[in-house]
Amino acid sequence: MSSWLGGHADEASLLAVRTGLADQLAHLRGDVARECPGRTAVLIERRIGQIVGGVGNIDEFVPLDAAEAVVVAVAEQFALDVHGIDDSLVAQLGQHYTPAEQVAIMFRMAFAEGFTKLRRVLDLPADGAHPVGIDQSPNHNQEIEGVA
Amino acid sequence: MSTVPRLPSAIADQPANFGTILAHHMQLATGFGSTYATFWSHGVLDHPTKEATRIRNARITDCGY
Repeated sequence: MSSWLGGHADEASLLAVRTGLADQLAHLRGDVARECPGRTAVLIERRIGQIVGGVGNIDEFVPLDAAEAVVVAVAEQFALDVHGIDDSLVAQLGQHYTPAEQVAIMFRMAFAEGFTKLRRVLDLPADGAHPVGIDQSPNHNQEIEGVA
Repeated sequence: MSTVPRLPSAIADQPANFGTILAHHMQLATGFGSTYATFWSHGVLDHPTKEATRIRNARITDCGY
């Protein structure tokens, strides 16, 4: 598959057109992924990717613990209709995560949704869409290595 | 849009807003700021197009900025 925008085969190839910006984005996405607690980075990416892009799922990650379940609930509403994220849902998030962790989690949702939409609009494959180098395995626990 | 920020300000004596909430995580706030600055100040796309896109996106998503 190749994008209609210049025949790029994947997201990395497309972003490389803007070298300076792509490098900064990659670093920021990597930092965000690393700062998301536990498995939340991959859970967010998988669930939003499933809803927005129709690719992937979180089946292999169940059962979720209570904190992860709240993150997934927020991610689902983030992707479906962000206005549906109400005070109650945010309060639940705050019961499990510090404000700093919540900042990382919300950044992660924004990147996941935005780049999933970008790939979909430009007809780029979901494969290789993880330039942040996160461990996609269900058992990983904040072991994130390498930033593209 | 929520009219009351749902996270407190990270900076004493300053109200909660996008910047002071991001300040809970200065590493990410700094990275976002520099990336956003590059996006706005460099590139091949003219500024009116960037701003028109930003405004339209903000209106549709009920963003206050």
